[in-house]
Amino acid sequence: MRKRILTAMMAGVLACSMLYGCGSSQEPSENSGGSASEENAEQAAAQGDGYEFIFVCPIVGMEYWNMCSDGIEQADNELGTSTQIVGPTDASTFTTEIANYMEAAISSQPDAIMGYSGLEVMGPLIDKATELGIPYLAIDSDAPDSSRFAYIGTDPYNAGYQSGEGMAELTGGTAKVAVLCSSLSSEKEMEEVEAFKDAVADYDIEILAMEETNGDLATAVTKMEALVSTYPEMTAVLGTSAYDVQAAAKVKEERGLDDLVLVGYDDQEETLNYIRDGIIGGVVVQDPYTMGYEGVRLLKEYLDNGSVEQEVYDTGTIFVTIDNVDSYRD
Amino acid sequence: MKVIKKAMKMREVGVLVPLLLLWIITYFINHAFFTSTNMIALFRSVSITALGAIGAAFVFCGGMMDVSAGSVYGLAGMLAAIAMKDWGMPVAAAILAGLLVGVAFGLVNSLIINGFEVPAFIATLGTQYIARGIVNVISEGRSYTGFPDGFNAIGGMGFFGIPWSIYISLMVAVIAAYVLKYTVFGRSLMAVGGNPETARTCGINVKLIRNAAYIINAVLCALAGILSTARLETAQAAAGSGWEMTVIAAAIIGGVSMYGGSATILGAVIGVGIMETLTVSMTMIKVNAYWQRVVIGIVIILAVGMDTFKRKRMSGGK
Repeated sequence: MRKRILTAMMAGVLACSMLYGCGSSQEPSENSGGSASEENAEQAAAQGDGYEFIFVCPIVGMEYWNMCSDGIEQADNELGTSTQIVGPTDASTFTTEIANYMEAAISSQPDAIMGYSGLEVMGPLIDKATELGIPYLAIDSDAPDSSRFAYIGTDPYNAGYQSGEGMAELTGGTAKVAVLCSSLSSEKEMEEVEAFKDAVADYDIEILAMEETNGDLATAVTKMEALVSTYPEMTAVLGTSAYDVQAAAKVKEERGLDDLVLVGYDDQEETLNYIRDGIIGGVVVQDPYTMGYEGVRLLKEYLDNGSVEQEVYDTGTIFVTIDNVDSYRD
Repeated sequence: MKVIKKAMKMREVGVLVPLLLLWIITYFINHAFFTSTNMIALFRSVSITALGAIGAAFVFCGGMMDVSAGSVYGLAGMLAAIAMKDWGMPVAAAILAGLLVGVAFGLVNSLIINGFEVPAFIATLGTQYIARGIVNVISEGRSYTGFPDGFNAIGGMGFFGIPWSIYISLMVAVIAAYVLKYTVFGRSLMAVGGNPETARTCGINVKLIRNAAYIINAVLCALAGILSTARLETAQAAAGSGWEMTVIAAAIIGGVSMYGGSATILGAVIGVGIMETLTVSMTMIKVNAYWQRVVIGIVIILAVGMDTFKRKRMSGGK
């Protein structure tokens, strides 16, 4: 039932985006860029390169993706392009819904598409876009076997490896670790976990269990509480998304588990406060702003020149601990 | 003996059995299950989700449907957070603002469904998107934290080391059970759910009753969202995503009929107990994370199956 309704709704979205596509030949698209970007877009359109892009975002409205969108907006303003941001808003169902948004994005035939790509459903859709002559850039998570022309984002292996090295350093090389991840279906998270394992292979670090939290703080707290009850021998937790490590921190604080070492991802303000208070040991911080900014730049470069210099652009990560928490952004 | 026989005939027993089985199995595999910390943690999550299931019981009982619960939960928590952090409102006013979100969405839902006669599923699917959209607009995807102590205390521990949310939820459950069973409104709601035409000819204002049920439901969802925000000391833009499904599943497991006319608050709460226990038990009995959803799905079907089987036998194989 739900699926059928979604299909009907997507048909609606599709129809709207087609109309939108027709209308846009007269006027530059209106999007979050505001009037400044519209003016720029108009100027650029006059010069003949007012490209229109679509960014298929996995969860619109999430802080991390807003940072990425800020980078996109900045690049749009500077380069005279315009990028429409579309995508699911619901973390619990985005893994399936994103395919519908991708379909709609292809149907509206933009000059190029960039999108979150690390889900099985995306591969064939990326190939479909390419076949229809719409270049596709993978952003934040890659689909290396698809026909995307390049990938920009954190190299998940490097990021995961860094989390493992950080864990080894913070625990002195001996730990029994539980892993909280937001989705077992996320190739990126799973690769990060694999890289973590590789990084700690030479140490006395063992993984006790892995639990899925659906990217929901309340679920993550429940899972963390259950982990604490189940594994008294646990000495460390790896949280592969922002809310996972925050949930671990909350339970650590509530239960007074002072010796538990927490390693996670992303630099939300609350996470940074936990690091300052010594509750979270360290987090691997990605750079979504640069992903968004460089993503738009790469799309334009590809359309202008027919190619880009590299196939993979690693925007890099920093391991943030109490030592650099107030200086790493500089 | 008579008492036991009578107790066995109570509808709730049918769902209590799978819950107890689940507890016993978990305990045998992991003795840490019945520790007080673990039980308090479990009942704490039950208490918050139970509010939604009680709301769902009212809506289902009147023969209706609501899938906007999770978004209303998210919006109420977020609005209360923003009211405190950005608008500098005192704790009580912020909580009131959050509850008003419930009133507003209850009204909107009932207006769309009973005023414009849009099917309930579609109407509440629409408001689900709207409420989640408003969360994103007002929060810009940020999570809010650092609330006044008075607010966080509501999500914290109360008398005898038991979280306030458990007391609140218990109180709501008792009142709801009373309202549903012993008041004119409750009986009218059952009648409306059972057969709206008959109810109408009996002089019941069907629309009014249904509107009231939607408002009660949305206010309870808002309350749950506020309590969860206080408990986590964080308002998260994605909070409550998919929560409506947990709530609906819990209510149905608890014997609340999706076709209206019958509901039990105790049953709905036990249903929540099963859903929340599953989340905890899967970890505690060390079920591989990849298999957890499969197991949860099977247990849900078994729980409802056992209950249906028992009721069929009791009603003479009808």
